[in-house]
Amino acid sequence: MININKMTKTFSNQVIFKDFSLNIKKEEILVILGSSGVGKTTLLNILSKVDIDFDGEITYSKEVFENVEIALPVVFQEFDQLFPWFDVRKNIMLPIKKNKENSEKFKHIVKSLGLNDSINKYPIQLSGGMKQRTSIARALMCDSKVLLMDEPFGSLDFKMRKNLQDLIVKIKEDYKKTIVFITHDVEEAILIGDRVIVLKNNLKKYDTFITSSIRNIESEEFYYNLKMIKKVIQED
Amino acid sequence: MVRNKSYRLLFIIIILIIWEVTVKLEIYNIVLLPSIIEIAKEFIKEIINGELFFATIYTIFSIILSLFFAFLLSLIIVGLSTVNKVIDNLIDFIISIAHPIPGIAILPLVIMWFGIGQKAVYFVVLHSMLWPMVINIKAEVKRLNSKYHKLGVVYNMTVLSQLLNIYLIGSIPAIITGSKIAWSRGFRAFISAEMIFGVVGTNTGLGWYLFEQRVYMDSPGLYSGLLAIILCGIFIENILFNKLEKLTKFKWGVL
Repeated sequence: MININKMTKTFSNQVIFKDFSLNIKKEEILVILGSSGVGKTTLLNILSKVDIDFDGEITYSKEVFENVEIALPVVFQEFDQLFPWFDVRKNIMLPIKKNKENSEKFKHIVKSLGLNDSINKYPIQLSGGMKQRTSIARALMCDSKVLLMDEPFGSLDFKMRKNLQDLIVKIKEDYKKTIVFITHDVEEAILIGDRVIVLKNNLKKYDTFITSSIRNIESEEFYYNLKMIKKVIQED
Repeated sequence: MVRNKSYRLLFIIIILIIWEVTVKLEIYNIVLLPSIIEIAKEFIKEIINGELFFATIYTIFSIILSLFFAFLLSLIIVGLSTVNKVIDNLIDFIISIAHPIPGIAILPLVIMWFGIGQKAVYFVVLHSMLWPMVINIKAEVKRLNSKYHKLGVVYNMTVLSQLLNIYLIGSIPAIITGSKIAWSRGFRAFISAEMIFGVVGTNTGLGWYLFEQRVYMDSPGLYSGLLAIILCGIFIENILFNKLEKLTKFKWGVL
């Protein structure tokens, strides 16, 4: 779906990535882990095309940019990524044209994300979880095949996090999306990811863990992967 | 809130009583301190005969007109400042020079350019209004840019859509705050300019009205003019702008 080939990125004379390669597969949830400052958000900015100042090559399969023009939609961590002066409906509909087809899509997305009762509310009237749902709905409205998420549940409580983690897996299945998800939470990474990569400080390498079959927090596989990933992060 | 209003009303009543007692005791010359009834009568008379009423309307109209042009000019200046860093720095430099200069201070120079008359007054008012407006809008656009520019890009919003939906609508609270400061600066500049240099033409505002009352030693008229200025200030600043601010505070996420 997306192929990063020998990408090098420097920022203020500091090398963040050197000859970094990664292949993102179709309809997978790829979770990116790594310690702070390792370049997770930089990688996401490059994937979304917000940041185009790098060396190397990134190839996108044709379908990635079928429905979006320049950049790929991103759901950020901050709650204030919604425009406070627009209500939920306008926030979700803002990036797209108003037509019958999109109104139907809007109704469907709003219903599936449980936002039906909030469409006329302003962001200030929403809880953190509802704000993130609105941001996800907006990203889904863009109809991009790839959805990028930068620690979207970072500041939410456990219950809300759990609900939204389930929602992400459901979105991937229902909407056939490829999702690149950044998090600091190892448990979250294993539970929602089909593949987890741990970025390391050596600019080029990362460790990969296949976690697609693990959706149960009490399974042995879950604990094994949790232990291994934590070990990799600590050793880095 | 109601208690605050009651205290204010009580304060006004006390001042009026002290005023009236001072007049009755003839502590000051009646020309300096006319009775409240006399001032009220003069105020109503001047409103009915149209002199004070039209001077007030003309003042408000002139300032609203200047506010509109100050707003347009601000948009152009802020727009230019976003083109590149050199222009942005240059505009910051011009602001740092022009903003501290009181409108009245440039009036002699303006008269040399435009002559005595409305053009000179408008220029001074525009100068007084422009810079606070530019400073407010510019700061807000910078804040919006750092906060929402990335969103505009990742959601493929066109430049026009970003300008309208992020920068223009997002700046509305700053525009209101800027307008509020611009209004009070422009209001003072307009009245002062008219009083100091007078105007040439058929239309005159409250500054000229006060100037005339002073020339004819009509102190109730003078106090009536001041009352009109106070009422204008209360209406525009405390009622109109405060209402607008309250309306936007909720929608723009500042509760």
